Amino acid sequence: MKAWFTIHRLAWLGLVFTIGLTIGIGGTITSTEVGMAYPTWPNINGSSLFNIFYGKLSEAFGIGSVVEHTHRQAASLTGLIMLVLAIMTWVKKETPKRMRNLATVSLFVVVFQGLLGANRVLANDYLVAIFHAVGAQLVVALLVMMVKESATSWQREAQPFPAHRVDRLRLWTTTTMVLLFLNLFAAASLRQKQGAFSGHLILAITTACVLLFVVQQVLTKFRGHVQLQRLAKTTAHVLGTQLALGVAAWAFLLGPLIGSLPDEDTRFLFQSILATAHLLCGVLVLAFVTAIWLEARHKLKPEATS
Amino acid sequence: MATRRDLMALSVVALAAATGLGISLTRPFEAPLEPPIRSFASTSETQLWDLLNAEFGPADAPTIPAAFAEVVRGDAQRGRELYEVQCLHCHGADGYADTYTARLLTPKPRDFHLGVVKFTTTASDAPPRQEDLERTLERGLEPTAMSSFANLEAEQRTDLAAYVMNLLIRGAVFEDARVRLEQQSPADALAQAVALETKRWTEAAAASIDPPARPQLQAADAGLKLFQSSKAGCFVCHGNDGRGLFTQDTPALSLLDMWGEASAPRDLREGPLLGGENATDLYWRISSGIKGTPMPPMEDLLSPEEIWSLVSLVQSWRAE
Repeated sequence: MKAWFTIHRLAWLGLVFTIGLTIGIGGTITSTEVGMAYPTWPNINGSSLFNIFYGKLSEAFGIGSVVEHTHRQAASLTGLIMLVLAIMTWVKKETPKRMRNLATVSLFVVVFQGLLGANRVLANDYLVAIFHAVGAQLVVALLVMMVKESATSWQREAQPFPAHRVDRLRLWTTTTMVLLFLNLFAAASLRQKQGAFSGHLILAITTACVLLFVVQQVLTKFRGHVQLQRLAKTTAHVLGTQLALGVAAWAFLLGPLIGSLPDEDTRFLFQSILATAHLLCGVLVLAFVTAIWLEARHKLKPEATS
Repeated sequence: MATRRDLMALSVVALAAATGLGISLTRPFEAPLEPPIRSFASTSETQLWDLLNAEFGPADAPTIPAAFAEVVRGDAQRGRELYEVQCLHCHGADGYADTYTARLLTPKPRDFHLGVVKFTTTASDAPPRQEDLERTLERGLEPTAMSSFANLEAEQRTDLAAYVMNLLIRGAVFEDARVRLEQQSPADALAQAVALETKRWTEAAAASIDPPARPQLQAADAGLKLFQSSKAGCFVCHGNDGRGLFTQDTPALSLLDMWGEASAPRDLREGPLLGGENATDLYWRISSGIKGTPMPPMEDLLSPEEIWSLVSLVQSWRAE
């Protein structure tokens, strides 16, 4: 039981670390466009990846290099957490096979992410950068699954609901997950200046509409399911914030308010913060939708109705 | 089981998603920023700037004047489109490298508006040729933020270099014309500057890209003597052992380049040499110097044989 609890806490740590640090700093890199502060990997011109002399680094290669360097360090630590998680699930005999598979897949995805990151820098390839961005979100989805499935509350029985309602919710949560990843691809293409804004806009509106439908379904048709209700309400709030951030990001980065800020420095800083906040909020939307999808798949029991 | 209503809704969603994805994959990104409007101290400079824009096009709609047609190959307008995606965030919307991203990087990305780049295969007082830019684009300048663009097709690199040539030439013409404004009208100053710069850039483009033939026997010893002699004077900055007297640990002793950035002499034994490490690269670095930096040209001080002996010395150091 103790080891099981440790896996749950470690998965939580990995999730918070991945979103708050690795993706947060990674998003800042793209927002400030300093990803190529030095085109070597993983070391900086012979200096170790785990070098923490940020002052010297900044002096030699600029502040941009520190941002890129800390992203690599955070990603390495994420990888370490995933490795420990995987080892724990392998060592602990009573770990369910599904959890062990999840941990193993997560470890492989994180390692692959590292290789994509390396390739993005060494080959200076924007397509790789797009897949690197989408891959990070896949890590988040996998970590959410591990957090949920290692929780003690996951041991509860599935609740019975009419089969047609359950089928419908499963269909539309799965659709939302697919749409979210497509939209992430479009958003990453836009951020890497490889795709048009309108593509991201269409996918964002479509995803938001479908997600709102899912929230409406949960709130009205699954009243007795406490976890789903709580997740749906939080998702609605996060989605609202994300839409507001999206409109603001469009207005200040691409739209009519682009020249409205007093000077170049303020504009750059504001745009970078706005774009990164929009990205992070998007990650939260994905995390909550993953949790809803998981609940819909495993904690609803379809019951035949006469 | 999904109902008919669900399937219909799903079809609409799939159609919308396919449209969004299709647009993302096929339609290009559109840069929202126009080049900044530059302001000048005098009316005549502003007039000169307007005339320059009429001659070379504004930075986001470049044209290569007929006088420079022999100097620039490729499509500068296509190059601009690539520049907006690949280069603008560091080098700026009009090549002045005054972006915020540029300020986060060391060394600073090149500001093209002075018409000078560091690494060329031309004489010390000559401008670069387009091949120099294409080589830098292909190789990059590791370990700086100027990464290799070998992933682009050769034709794309040519177009990109054509656009940068436009920025460099217009910069050189503007700087040349500006000093004439005290005696001449903006139109006359521009005409004279264009005539002079056409000659300079055309001659540079036509000159041989290969250095003089390397002698068969090249002893590094002869190079070391020359390196430590007052004739070449290399030891003054690079030290007797070639490791560089001024390092990043002692920035107070660092020298500055023409863009006002610290320019520490290289450690010639270890670490990267930005302009390339093969014999031809080293020959040009020593012969023409590194333009805009304190690394002086040796072409008037040393014979080609002597320059080759220094090349042998540096190569022997790096092989150790």
